[in-house]
Amino acid sequence: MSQKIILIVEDRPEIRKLVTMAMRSRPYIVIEADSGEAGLEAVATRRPDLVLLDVMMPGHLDGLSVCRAIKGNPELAVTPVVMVSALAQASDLALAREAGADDYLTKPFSLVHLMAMIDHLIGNLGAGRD
Amino acid sequence: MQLVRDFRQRFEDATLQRKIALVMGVGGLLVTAAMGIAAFLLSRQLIIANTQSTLALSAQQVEREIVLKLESAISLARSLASNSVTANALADSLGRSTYLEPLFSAQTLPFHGAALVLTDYKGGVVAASGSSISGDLFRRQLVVQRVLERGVPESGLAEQPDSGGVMLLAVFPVIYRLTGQTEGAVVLSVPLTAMPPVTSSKYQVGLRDAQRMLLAGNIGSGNSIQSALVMSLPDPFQALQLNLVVSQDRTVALRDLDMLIVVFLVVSSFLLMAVTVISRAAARFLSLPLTELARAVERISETGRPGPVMELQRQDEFGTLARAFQSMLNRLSESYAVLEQRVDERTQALLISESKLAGILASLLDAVWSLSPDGKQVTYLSPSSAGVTGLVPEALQNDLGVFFAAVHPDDLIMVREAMDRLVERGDSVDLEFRFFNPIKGVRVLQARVHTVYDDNHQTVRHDGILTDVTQRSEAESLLRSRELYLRAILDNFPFLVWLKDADSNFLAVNSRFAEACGRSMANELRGLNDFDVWPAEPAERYRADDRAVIAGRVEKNVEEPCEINGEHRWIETFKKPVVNADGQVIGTVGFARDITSRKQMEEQLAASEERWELAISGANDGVWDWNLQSGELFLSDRWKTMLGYQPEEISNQFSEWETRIHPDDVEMVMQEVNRHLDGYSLLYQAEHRVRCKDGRYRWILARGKAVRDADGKPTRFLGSHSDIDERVAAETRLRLRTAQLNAIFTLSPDGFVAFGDKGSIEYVSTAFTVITGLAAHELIGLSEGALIDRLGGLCIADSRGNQLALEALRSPADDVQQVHGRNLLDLAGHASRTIEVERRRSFGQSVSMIFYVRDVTSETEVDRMKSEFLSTAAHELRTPMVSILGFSELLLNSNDYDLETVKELIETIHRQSKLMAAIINELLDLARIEARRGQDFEIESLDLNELVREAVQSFRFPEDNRVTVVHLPSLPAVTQGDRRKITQALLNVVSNAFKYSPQGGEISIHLQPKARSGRAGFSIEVRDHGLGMTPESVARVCERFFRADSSGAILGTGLGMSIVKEIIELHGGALDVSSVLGEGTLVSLWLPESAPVDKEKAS
Repeated sequence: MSQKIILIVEDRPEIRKLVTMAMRSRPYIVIEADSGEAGLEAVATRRPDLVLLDVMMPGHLDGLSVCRAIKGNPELAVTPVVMVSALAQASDLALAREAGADDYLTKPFSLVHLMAMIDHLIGNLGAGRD
Repeated sequence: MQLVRDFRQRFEDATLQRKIALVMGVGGLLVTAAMGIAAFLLSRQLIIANTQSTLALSAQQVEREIVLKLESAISLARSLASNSVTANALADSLGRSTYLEPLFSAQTLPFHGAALVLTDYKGGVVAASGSSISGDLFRRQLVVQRVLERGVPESGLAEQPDSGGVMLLAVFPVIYRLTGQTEGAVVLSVPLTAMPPVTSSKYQVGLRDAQRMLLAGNIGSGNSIQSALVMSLPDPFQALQLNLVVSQDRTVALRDLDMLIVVFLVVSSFLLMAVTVISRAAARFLSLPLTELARAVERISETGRPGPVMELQRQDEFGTLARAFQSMLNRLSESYAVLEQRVDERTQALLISESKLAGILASLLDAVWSLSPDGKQVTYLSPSSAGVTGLVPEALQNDLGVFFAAVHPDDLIMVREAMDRLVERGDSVDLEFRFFNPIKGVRVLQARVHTVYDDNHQTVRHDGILTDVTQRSEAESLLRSRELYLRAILDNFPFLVWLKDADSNFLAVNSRFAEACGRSMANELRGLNDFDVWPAEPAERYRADDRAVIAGRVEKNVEEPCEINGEHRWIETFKKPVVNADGQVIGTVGFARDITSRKQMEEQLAASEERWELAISGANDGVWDWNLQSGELFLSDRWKTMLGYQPEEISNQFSEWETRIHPDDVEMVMQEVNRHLDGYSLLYQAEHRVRCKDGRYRWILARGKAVRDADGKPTRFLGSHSDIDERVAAETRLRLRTAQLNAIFTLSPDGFVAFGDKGSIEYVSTAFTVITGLAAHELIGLSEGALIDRLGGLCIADSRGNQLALEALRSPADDVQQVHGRNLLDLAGHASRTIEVERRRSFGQSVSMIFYVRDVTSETEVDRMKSEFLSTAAHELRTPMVSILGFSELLLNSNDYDLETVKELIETIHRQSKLMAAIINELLDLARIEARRGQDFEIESLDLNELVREAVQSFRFPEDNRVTVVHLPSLPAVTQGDRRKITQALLNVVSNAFKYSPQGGEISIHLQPKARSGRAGFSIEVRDHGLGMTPESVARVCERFFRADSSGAILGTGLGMSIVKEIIELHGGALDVSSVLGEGTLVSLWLPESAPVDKEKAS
């Protein structure tokens, strides 16, 4: 089975590192992007199996815009998108759902939770057993 | 049957005494016979039962005797049979003759005729106790053969060879011991006749087995009493099942009973005789009072008068009967006496009335007579008949022909026919005829005859009266013609006329009256009363009127409404009592006429008078009436009181009006008056002021109309004054109030629109147009929905908040504000305001709803900033948390990392924890500074030279050994401030300079005096040659959590510059930042000279 690709779009390097390290024990390859623009490009070129998307990022494209862009492109729309944000109000969640996100993860998050979510969305539920 | 009937007849005919005697005698006889029969049957039963028990006892005795005898015989036989000597001897012929024969013949048995026999093995007799036993007697017996074969004792019955009777056989085998062979048998035979003991004379004994009677004795004759029992015989007889029967002849047993019957008959015949004697005496005794009663009644019937009967002082039924009879007699004799007295009285009265009748008849002018049933005989003729007929009564009585001869020949046929009808059909006669009276000449007689019948409707006689009506008939014809005249007058009279008797029955009415009550003929009403012709309610009233007239003997004149042929009419009625010559009221006479039209006119008149009266005296309007010809002016009291005068204080003069008009209004009023009088206006109307008594002026509404003559010339000018002072005053107040409100609304910063009662906008305040930019004329007349659409058009289109607020406004709820919280609309363009809209429904009459609009732009801006700050702060705190939590989780869950990696991870955690601590500290600092607004500053005079020097001296940026270059002025730079806060601000800036120039470069501080906006002060400029910032970043540098470095390479909270800005500004200073990307940044802190704490800002 080919390994699944997870793209993390996050401006904080330590968080990117954290996710990458956390996935090392899993059958996933993590690729990183440090801005919305880079993330969108990576989605188009690498076709990841799942995108972790930070909401608040500097630059012209914040997470929500990236999400809309992904979900607005029929070729890419099937890619599951998890919004990751420190914003935890109901309105923020609603905005994420409107943008088409498949799930929402509030910072700070538990790695166990993150993995469970990823496994679920990729449909790779057996991944945790090796 | 005949016999019974005869007897019954004779019994009924007999006297009571005999009846009682007979009944008692027969009763006694029956009782005695019944007793006799009962006693006979009872004693018979007893005797039989007694005999039976005696017989049973005897049977037992007999049985015991037989059994005992049999037992001894059997034991003898058994012992002989079982004796071995017997068997041995049997085998030996010598033994037989020497031993056995003598042995057996010596045996005696307890039964007469019984025998004990020894047989050989063939059944032949060897030895016997009796000689009578023949040699082969038992060889034929089956029972003997069986025993010889089987060797077991048996019993049986056998015919007695000589006598033919039955005998019992018991056979015991004789067994030879050595061989066990049956060598012979011992046979015991007992004739049955020998078994019973000597029979007593009283009873016979019989024996029977299951099939038949074996020994009969005398038993079997049927008429006997028997007792039987099963005999328990010793073996082997037991198998025979013999019954013992003991019987006694019934006649023998009952012999004693015959004696008893004879004795009883004798005793009962004596008893019967005694009963007969006693019953006779009792009958006599019982019927004695009845006999006496009968005698008394006989006495009374003989005398025909009730009288005392007898003295029966008894308490039984006869006593009661006698007393009741006595009291009945007493009552009878009382009523008899009353009856006699009444008969006397009646007889007397009859005599008196008879004499009276005779007197009356004699004094009558009319002749009274009676005719025989056939009408041919005069049976009675009153004395006055002579006067009426002029004929001698005796002649008339003798021959009725005399009477008919005097009848006028023209009337004779009529009279005869009437007489015939009277006699034949019983028709009453009432006819007038001419009659030739020999004394008085031709007279008119009236004859009235009717027939008298008895109870069986048989004609008894014809009674009649004959009256001389000559004078009356003349008077009647006169009267008839007079009545005709009268009726003609009455019927043509324009009134309703009627005459009633004292009981209010109509005697006569005219045709108009009949017409009024719906009758065609006037004489139909005769004898009727008001209730027959009028409805109940008026009839009651008329009746009451009649009574009042009769009782009070007064005239009554009433005008009243009345319903005639379904129409409401007014009727005027006159009623008068009618009085006869003696002054007694004998009835009433009445007239009535229809006064409806008069009444209507009167009512109309009264109504208009009332109206006028009301107008004049009315509480509201004053009335004036100006006679233009005479110049006279009538002014109503109200006119005067309206002006504060008493009615008498103002005279009815034209000048009183003219001079009181307000000088400013006189011209207008006169113009209006003239315009009307000249016919230019239909109505005179003017609002003007009139002077009151107290000199004040009152507003009056004057209205009037001229009355014109045939030429159109005004002759009179009438009108009214209404007091409209209050109305005018209210209008004035209203105008003022409206102006005030308009001013208020114009000045109010909050705008509103008001909807009228039709649900469309009627008022738009100035502020509303200012806030929304919609012109008032665009809005007036719009509906609620249209207004909301217009407001929606102003809004930013794609805002969710706007859509929600507009939906809330469109919802039908009464009070949008209360239900949905604030309704905020963000307007597009037009200075991008935020407005708050509230809708309130009003229950007032003129305003149904109000929309308020408030400009809340600045208010919401502050709100927005606050919530943005909070969410940003949370974000900033959460971000380091991700690393701390995530890496610590990695470390906890995995042991695979090498030491270096572990260290690296822990360092990351440490770094992020430090960052979080710094953020929290600085947030707290900022919050404190903001909250206190400088109030906790410890203000003192400071020399900034000193402050800068000390700050830089103590400051060391970690892992950086650069030294800050400080340029200080020569003069002290004294300002007022909090040393620690300013130091903190300075160090924040310096620290940033180090942080953002990681590649190195000089960091310098210049303190120098500098005026700013005309104020003296000092600037502390911190310069670095580091990364620099874009102009956008420079603009945002003081925003909370803004980080010039978004890569995360440079640690920082993003709060430092915010704190600096707050501190400097709270000291009345200013912060300036200038920077060029890639070249460096210059931060300038400016503080005023001796800068006092900005008190204004602090408060």
